[in-house]
Amino acid sequence: MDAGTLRAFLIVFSFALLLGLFFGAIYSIPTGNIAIVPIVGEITGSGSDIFSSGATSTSVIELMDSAESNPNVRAIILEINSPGGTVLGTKEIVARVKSASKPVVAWIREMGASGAYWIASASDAIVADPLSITGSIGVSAAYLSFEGLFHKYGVTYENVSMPGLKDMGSPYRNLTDRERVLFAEILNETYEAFVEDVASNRGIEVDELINISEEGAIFLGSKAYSKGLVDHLGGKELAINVSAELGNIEYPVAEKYGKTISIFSLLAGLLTSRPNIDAEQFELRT
Amino acid sequence: MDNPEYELVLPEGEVMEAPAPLKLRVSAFAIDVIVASMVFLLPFTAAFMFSMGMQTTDPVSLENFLYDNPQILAVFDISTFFILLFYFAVFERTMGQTAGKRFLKLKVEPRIGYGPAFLRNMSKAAVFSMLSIPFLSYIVFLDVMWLFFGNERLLSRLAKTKVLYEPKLSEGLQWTQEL
Repeated sequence: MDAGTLRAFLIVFSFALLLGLFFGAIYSIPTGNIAIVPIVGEITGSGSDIFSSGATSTSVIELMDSAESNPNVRAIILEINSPGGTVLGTKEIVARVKSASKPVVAWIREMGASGAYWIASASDAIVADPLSITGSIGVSAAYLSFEGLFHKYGVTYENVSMPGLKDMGSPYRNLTDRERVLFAEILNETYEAFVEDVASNRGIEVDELINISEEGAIFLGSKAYSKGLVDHLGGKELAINVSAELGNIEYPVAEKYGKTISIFSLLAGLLTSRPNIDAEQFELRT
Repeated sequence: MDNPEYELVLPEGEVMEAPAPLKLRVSAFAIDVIVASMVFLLPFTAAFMFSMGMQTTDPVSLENFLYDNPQILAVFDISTFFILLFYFAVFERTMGQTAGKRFLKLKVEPRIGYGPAFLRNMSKAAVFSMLSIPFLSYIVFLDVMWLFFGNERLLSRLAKTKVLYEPKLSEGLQWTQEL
């Protein structure tokens, strides 16, 4: 190789190497082989990630997508500390957990009840602290009725709706018997979907699940373990070990995934966040 | 002077200025793409993965990762374009020929500076990235279409260069010396 060729080779080779190192450093990815995705607080379908204290299904799914697309990650741990939330938000996360191509382990910390337990049941294994609160397998819907208060102060609620049930669930009047039946039907249908899916996830019969769930009661992790609703009793270390086993990882390194807060995301959050105008509406919750 | 009977046509001029056959130039380009991929794009990819903290050497994993992260894929495509551009331009600027041209005895004439070298190789460097960078695909289209009008690429013409076949070139030079 003559001097000219060598010089040309060195120029191009150095350029290629530096370009690779430079852009690689800019787009550096988490290097842990186990991703910890937090599901903390009340679960909702959407909302501002920056100012929301709970877990939105959008952000949880984004974090799971990120962990799944990272070739270093071979298993995912869902760090659950949630009392549940909206049916739709929960269902979206459940669907994402089921479609995961990598092993998913649910690690229930202080609380993994209702919808949060539904999500945990969709994972490959559930690890819970013996003193954690779990269960609450059921659906509820509640709203404040101001009719009595309005009556006391001589305020009347006049509403003209077509058809007649259009203002069903309005907080300014009590439910009629017919509305109560309709709501019960909706709740029942949602509850059936909930228990059927959890039973299928855990590999037990629906009737057996309804029986052991004690009419939607909450119970401690130790009791959930004895009922077969939890696979292992323990904490983070055990969750990592179970993930390592499922993902065939010899040297597990867990890395927490989370939203990074930048000035742009803060501004975007300010622009997109809005007051919860549906707060007084009837909402189904798991 | 307009009468063809008295026009003096030197044979070496014809031999020296005729561009090398298209099939030879295309073959040289194919060799260059293989060489540049092995010698420069692979180390670039390794450096990229190493610096990014990726612990896999599995090309399928890398491909999946890039398709799942379009922003990184775009950076990867742009980098590929610039590395190939550097390869063609630097070798043609310093040596007058790339590895493929050297193997097939082709040479870029006249010797050019970096400006024309970068210009004439823009479309060739876009071989891997033209589909993801639409602007480059227009350049490639125009450049290749120009071949149908004069057996040379548009960018090569703009850079005022020709790719010549070295044996004929030396043959022509020898002939000139004999004359």
